[in-house]
Amino acid sequence: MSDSSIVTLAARRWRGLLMREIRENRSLMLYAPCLLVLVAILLGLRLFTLFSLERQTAAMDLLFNRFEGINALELAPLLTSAGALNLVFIVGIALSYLATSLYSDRRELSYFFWQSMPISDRATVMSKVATSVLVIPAIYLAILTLGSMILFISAAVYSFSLGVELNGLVELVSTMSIALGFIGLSAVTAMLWLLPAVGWILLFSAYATRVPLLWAIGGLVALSLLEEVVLSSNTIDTWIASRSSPWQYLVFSIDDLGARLFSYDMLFGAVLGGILISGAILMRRFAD
Amino acid sequence: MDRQNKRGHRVTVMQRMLRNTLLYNKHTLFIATVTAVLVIIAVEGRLTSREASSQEFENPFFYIQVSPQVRADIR
Repeated sequence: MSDSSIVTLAARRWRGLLMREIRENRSLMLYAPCLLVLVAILLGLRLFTLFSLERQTAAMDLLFNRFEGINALELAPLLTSAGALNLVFIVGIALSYLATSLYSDRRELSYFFWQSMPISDRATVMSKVATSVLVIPAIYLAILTLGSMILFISAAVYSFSLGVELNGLVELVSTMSIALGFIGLSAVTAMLWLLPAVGWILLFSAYATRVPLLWAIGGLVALSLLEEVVLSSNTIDTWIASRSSPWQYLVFSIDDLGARLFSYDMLFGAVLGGILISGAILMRRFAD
Repeated sequence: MDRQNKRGHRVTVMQRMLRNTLLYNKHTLFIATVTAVLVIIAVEGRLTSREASSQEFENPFFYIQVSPQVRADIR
């Protein structure tokens, strides 16, 4: 078999595995982001309508004219920070997905079907990791981009109807595009930063017989408290707290992205995540 | 001494030892994995004197200054 056909076969296998994850978790990966983005837009519109017409006009004038001539790269971090809530949603969806991923295979007994397929446990588990790190952020970002475009066009049309000039339109579009790109990069970076959490939840998803997410969170809390009571130390708390600064999850520039992805803390987290994910892979050989 | 398993593959002493201890059942594997991770975290924390940084809410990337005219427009 030639190298190119091996690569094609592997690519087809991976595409099948990722498409399987999307099909089986449509409600979490597709419908939930649509609902979240829609609720956020409607909430914003509702708050906007509380203002008087004069203030609405002033706000639209501020939005479409104050950014005229401003460098989009300098302004994009501000919009990225404003969109940080989306990062919370993406991480929440990814962790919920991981908690049920291996657990549902065992509960529905489809685990035996997939064991009979010529797909290794490692490929199956790594496809779930890849789904949480890459696919979920990509789908959410696509839905967020579509929602932002609809909101932006609606705002532009409404501003035009109010008689507001749209002088800074190009700068605002550039700023929004760059901010959306930064949110996407932040989502992937955040999921890579959270690889220990990904591995921890996958391990409990493969091990727990009921409510794996509750066991994962409760287990971590219990271990932390046990360490403080028995050993009078707080190593686990300190380690978690050292990786919990909000600025560790947001990307504002591509220049330092390489340094962040290959930093000591990122690589150390990847090693821990790798150990936990390996445990989840080995756990699959034990049928319940 | 190496033995052969059902598939005729050689099983090393190390592999047999792992199967009889860490891979004996899912519970031993789970405890071994969690213990390994916690030990590594504890050792690394001591070696690098790790400190918490979750209190760092000061933005190291940019600062915001809103001009008085913009503030007046918003009000």
